[in-house]
Amino acid sequence: MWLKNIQILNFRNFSRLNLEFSPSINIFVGGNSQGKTNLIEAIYCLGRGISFRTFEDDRLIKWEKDSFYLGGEGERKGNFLKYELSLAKNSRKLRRVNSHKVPIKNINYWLWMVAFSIQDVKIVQGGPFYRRNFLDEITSFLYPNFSYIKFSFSKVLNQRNVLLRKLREKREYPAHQMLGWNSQFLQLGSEIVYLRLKVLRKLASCLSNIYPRLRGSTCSIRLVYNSSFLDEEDNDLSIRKIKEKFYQKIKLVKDKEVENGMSLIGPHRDDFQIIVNKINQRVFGSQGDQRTTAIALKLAEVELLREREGDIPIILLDDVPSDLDFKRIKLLLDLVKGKGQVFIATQNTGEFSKDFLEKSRIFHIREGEVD
Amino acid sequence: MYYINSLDRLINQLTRLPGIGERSARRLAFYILKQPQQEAARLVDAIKTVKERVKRCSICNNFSEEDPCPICRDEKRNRSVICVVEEPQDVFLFERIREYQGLYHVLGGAISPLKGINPESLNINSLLKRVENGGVKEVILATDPDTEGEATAIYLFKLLQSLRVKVSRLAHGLPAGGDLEFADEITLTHALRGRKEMEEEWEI
Ligand SMILES: [Zn+2]
Repeated sequence: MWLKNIQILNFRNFSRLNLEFSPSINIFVGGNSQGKTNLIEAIYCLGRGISFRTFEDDRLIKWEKDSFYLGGEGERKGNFLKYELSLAKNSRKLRRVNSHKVPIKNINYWLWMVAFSIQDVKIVQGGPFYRRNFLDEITSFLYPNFSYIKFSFSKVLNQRNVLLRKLREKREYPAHQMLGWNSQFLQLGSEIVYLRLKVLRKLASCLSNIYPRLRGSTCSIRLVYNSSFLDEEDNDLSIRKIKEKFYQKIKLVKDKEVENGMSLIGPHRDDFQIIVNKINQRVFGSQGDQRTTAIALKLAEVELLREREGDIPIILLDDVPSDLDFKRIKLLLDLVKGKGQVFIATQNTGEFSKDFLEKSRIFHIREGEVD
Repeated sequence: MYYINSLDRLINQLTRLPGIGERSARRLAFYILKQPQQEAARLVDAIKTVKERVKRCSICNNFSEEDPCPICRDEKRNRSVICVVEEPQDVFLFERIREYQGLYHVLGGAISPLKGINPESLNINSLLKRVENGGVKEVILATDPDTEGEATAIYLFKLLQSLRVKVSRLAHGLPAGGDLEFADEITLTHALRGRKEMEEEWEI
């Protein structure tokens, strides 16, 4: 899987740009805010239809312009397809593959990409939201109906919370009305937990391969799912069993939920712990360890996508060298060596070996222009 | 700026229609403007007439020019089955596949606490009365396969259970989360044929 070229019109700080890429390593060199991260973002947007930096699509359009356009030829399973993504202000993004309109959500037409950036450390350091997001994204790649289950669950959650708030105000129980939402809440919630546990097990087995190579020493890794209704050892249950536990627990908090006017247990509250050599990385990990862990998690994502697609996803490294020592970058590249396409955005190439640079295609970026 | 007051008003009205954006509204408005007077008058008349003549059937709540509607009056239809749908357009979908010979009941929406749609705001009491009056052996719950439609079906099932009537739900395989409207005829036929009797839910 690789991107052969890209055409950019009015995207971020680029006016007009046409670039031809190498199927292996591409390096974007430039100072701060010259546009190298924007270029990484453009590639990601073209392949995936969304940005990894912002949810506000209009910000992708160049200042004082009305629309942006991205186009490029990408290879998938031996075929070259023409990918296009465009957005007019106050409108929705339009995605085309070989001139046919394709919904952005349709993963069959993605150029799979994994973007590494400084932000990734939040998966380890940040609140439960970041870990849930990371886990759910991988889960929706591996099990395409997961996105739909999660979407439905969040709708049911909202509806259920409205009813719980009403109950709090009136202190009455429209049991018949709750029933319809409760049964979907239990079913969808259990399906979410079931799939997450499955993916977490896969992720853990990937990590135990990758982590020692990244650290250069043997270590034990455990990923522990923190559920609001399961116990730690319940990590391999059927949907039915999960639903029963969910049901038992929710009956216990029934009155409390009305008191609070909201759903107190369920997958929307869950989290997972990353334990390396018996140390909970979020709480006790050093800065350096947390960064390594974040990279290991993303590499595990690469590995899971490779297994799914039978092809290595395109790897984007956004400004990682400035934040990480070169040894880790090199290890990271070794892990995908000779197989995948890599894009690296960096301030300078001083850290890279001559041999490495000779194998790479280098682009110098200044103020939205490339030579 | 180029601006015609009455044309702008027409465009504004057209953009309120579902599925019509600013651009299509403008195209339609200019098209109407270019038509001969009597052509435009026919459109106005058609809109006026449909609003005057079409009412709700007092039995099934479907749109009809007569009351009761032709379906409710048709003696050849199977009066022991009622298919419960959200909107009148769903009746059209079922009629189009010509598979179903029973009667209908139009709820007028689905339960949604978020939108403030309670069971009381739907046409549910008249459904219960129809079943209580006897002669009904099966109620098919054909609400949309999304979360609101599902919650409505579970709610209705609970009420109908005590009336000793068979209650079934359209089979899955319908586009999940969608609108019945987006199901094609084959899918809808399968969903109808494969309908399942509903089961008791776990009550919290
Ligand atoms: Zn009728």
